[in-house]
Amino acid sequence: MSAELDMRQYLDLFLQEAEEQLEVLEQETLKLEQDPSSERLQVIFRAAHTLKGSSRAMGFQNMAELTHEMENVLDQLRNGELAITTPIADALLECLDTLTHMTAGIRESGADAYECKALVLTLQGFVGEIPATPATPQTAQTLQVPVVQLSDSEQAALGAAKSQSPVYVGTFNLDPECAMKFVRAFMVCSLIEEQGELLVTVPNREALEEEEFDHSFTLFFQTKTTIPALEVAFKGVSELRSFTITEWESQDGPEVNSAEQESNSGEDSSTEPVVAPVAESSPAATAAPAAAQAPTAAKQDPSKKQDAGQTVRVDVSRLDNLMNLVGELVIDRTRIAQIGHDLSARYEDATIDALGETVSHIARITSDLQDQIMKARMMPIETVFNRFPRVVRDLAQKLGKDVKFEMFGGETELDRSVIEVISDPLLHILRNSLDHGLELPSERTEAGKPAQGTINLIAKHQENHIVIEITDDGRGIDADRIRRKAIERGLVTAEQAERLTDKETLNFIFSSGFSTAAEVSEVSGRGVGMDIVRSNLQKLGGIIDLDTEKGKGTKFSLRLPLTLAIIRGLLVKVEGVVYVVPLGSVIETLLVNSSTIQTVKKQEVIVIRGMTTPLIRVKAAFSTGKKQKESTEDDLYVVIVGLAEQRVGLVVDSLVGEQEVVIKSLNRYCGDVKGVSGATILGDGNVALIMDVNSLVA
Amino acid sequence: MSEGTYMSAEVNTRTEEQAVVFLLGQESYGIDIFRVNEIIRLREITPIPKAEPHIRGLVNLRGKTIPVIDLNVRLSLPNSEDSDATRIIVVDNDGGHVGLVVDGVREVVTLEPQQVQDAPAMVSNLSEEFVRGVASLEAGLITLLDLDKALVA
Repeated sequence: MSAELDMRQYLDLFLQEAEEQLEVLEQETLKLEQDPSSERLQVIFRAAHTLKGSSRAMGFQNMAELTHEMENVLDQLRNGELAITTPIADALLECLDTLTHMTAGIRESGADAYECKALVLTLQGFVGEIPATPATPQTAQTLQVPVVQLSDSEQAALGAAKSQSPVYVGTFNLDPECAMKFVRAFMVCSLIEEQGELLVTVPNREALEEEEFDHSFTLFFQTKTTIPALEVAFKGVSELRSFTITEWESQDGPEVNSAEQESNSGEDSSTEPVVAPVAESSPAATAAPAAAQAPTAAKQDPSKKQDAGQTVRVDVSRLDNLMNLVGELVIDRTRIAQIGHDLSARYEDATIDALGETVSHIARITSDLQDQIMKARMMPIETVFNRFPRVVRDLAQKLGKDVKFEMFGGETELDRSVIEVISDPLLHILRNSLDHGLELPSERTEAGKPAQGTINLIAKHQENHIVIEITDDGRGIDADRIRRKAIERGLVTAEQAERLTDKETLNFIFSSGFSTAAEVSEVSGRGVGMDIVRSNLQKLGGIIDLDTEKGKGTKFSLRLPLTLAIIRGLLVKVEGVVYVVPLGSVIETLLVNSSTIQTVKKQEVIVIRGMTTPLIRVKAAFSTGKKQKESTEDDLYVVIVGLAEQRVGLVVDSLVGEQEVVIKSLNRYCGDVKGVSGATILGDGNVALIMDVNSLVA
Repeated sequence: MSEGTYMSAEVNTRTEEQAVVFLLGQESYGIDIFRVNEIIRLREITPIPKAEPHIRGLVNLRGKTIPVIDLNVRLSLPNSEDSDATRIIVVDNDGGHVGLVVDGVREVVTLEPQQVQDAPAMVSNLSEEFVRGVASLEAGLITLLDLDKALVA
C-alpha cells in the first residue's frame, strides 16, 4: 500500500484510541507492583498490543517498536517466565511516559520522533535470550481453500508467481464493529509486505481504501518467512476477528465460477469452520458488544469497562454553552411563571389557566434538562485522582521514602469546571506531604513509628460541598519554625508573630514564596506550591483548612462547591435589596421576637431548641454606606444557616421566596467582596447578589 | 443628545482617532470609540455591599451581569445626581464588559492628531494619572481619558 495514502483522517481515531489505551496502561501498570495478577498483566498486555497494532498501521515505527518490546516483556511476565521487579516496573512506567510523549508529538507534528532506543534495549535486557513467542498459534492451516473470484489476468499473475515460490491465500474477517476497516486491512497488507510480496487483493486496493468491502477481504501473497510466523504477526492486528491462510492452488475456469457463488453466498459461513480464535487475544474484541458475536466476545475482560460505542467525546466549551443556555432558560422560565401568575391574579380566563399548565410543564422539562446537563458535566473525581499514585510512587522513590498511599471516594462526582482547577492544588499538597511531611524510614523507626508512612486522599460529600482531605502521619508542621521563617522573610515583625496563634501562623505556608525547606529540591522548596493551592481554591470559592500535630501528622481539608452553575436559593430582602441565600445551607427560617435575643460577649444570640445560635444582622454586615436606623421592630426574620457543625442565624428584613438561580460570578473588576459569592438575575430581570454564608460568618 | 450614533462622514486616516464625548458634571470627556460597546439608559443597579466606593453595583445586560462604576467617584470629581440624561457607557475591559455611569453622552468626534495635546501638568481637579491628553475643539476642551488606567481596580 502506497505511502502517500492520506492517513490524516485516521489520525484522530488513532490518537483517541491511543489515549484510551494509555489510560488503561497507566492505571493498571501502577497497580502491577502490588498485585501482579495474571488478569492485570493480561489487560496491560492487551493495551500494549493494541497500541502496537495501531501505531504500526499508522506507520509510527518508533511507537510500534517500543510497544513490541513491551509486549515481549509483558508476555514473559504473563507466562511466569519473568517476575515483576522494581526495575521492570520502572521501565514499564518509563515506556508509558515515552508513549505519552510520542502521542503528544504525533498530535502536534504527526510524527513519533522520540528517542526510545535506550528503553528498547532495557526492555530487551529483561527478556534476555528467551525468544519472544506470543500466544501459541492455533490457526488451522490445512483447511479448504477459501475461494474468491479472480480475473484471468490475476489468475495468470498468480500462476506465474507460483512457479517461483508457493503462493498463499489469506482470508481475513474484521470485527463487524471495526471503525477503521481500511486501516486494519492496511495493517495486514503491510505485515505481508514486510516479509514478502503481496500479489493480489480481493477486493482490489481501491475498494479496500474506500472501505468498499463487507468485513472480510482476501489477499494472495508470497512470503519469505513461515506461515506460523505470519499468523503470529496477524494476531497483533486489532479488530481482526479471524483469518485463514492456506496455500493457493491454481484453479480452472469452471471451478472458479462455482466457487464464486459459494463465496458470494456469504463469506462468514464459508469461513466459519476455520475461524481462528483471534478474538481471545485481541484487545479490539472488547469494542464489540457481546451480543450476537462469537462466543469469545463474551469472555471479554470485565475489568475493561470502557465501552467505546456508548460514549461520545464532547468539547467542553459545548457543554459550557449548553449550560449557559439552560441558565438563560431557567431565568426566562421563572419570568414566564411570574407573568402567568400576575395575569391569573388579574383576569379569570380559561386561556390563562392553560398558560399556567403549559408553564408548569415547561418548568418540569427545564429542570429535567438542567439536571441532565449538570450530570453531563459531572465527572468522578477519580479522573484527577488516578494520576496521583504514579506521582507519589515516583516521588517517594526519589526521596527514599516508604509510603502507603491510599485513595478513597474516587467515585464522588463534581462539576468538571471544579475538577479542572482542583488537580494542581491536590498535587502540590501531596508533594508537600511527601517531601516535608513524611520522614525518612530511619527517622520514623527512631521516632517509634512504622517505617512505612501513610498518606490518604479522601473525597466525600458534605452537604452541598465536596470535601477532600489529605492526611499524612508524618512529622507535622512546626508552628514555631513557621513563625521564625515568617519573621525572617519580613512577613511579620517579631512582636506581631508572638501574638499570632499557632493556627494563624500556619496560614503563612500559603503565602507566596514561603518555604521552610532548607534546600530547594526538584520536588519542592521554591515556595510556589501552596500559593497556587490557595489561589486556585479562591478561584473556586473553596476553603482550605489545616490541622497539624507535631510528630503525629498533618491534615489538609479542602471544601469545594459541587457545581458552579445553578443553585436553589432563598430570596431575602435587606434594606430593599434582594439577596439570595443558597438553599443548601439554609436549615430553617424563623420569626423571632426581639425580646428573645440575648447578648453573650457582645454577640447577639438566640436559643433555638436548646442550642445557642449567634445572630448576624445582615443589614449591618452589608451596610452599603447609607445611614441605618436601629431596628425597632419586634419581630425579626431569621434564616438559620448551617456551616459545618456551626449554626448561624441571619437577620433579614423579609423573606421573598424560593427560586432557582443561575450563578454568575462577580466580575473580576469588583474584586473580592466579603459575604457575596456571585450574582444572578431574578425573574423580574433585576440582578441579585448571592450571599456567601461562609465569609459572612468568618 | 445624539447617543453616540453620529459618525464622522470623513474617511478615516490612520492618524485620526474617534472619541465618544460624554459629560461628567459640566465638563466634556472623551474615550476611544473602539472601546465602547454600547450606550444604555440608566437602569436598576444592584449595589454590592462593601465594594469599592466607585463601584455602583451590577446591572443586567441581556442576561449578563456587568459591574457598573461611577466615573465621577472614580475620578474624584464632585458627585452628581442621576437624571434623565444619565447614561451607562458599556466598554470592553480586559475581556469583559464594564459600565461607566456618566452624566450624559454628547457626540462622537473625529480628532486630528494636531488637535490632541499632552495633558497640561494641572488638569482642573482631576486625578491626572487617568488623563491621556486634551483635545481642543471649537466647542471647547475635551479631556481624553486613559481607560485602562481609569479602570484598574
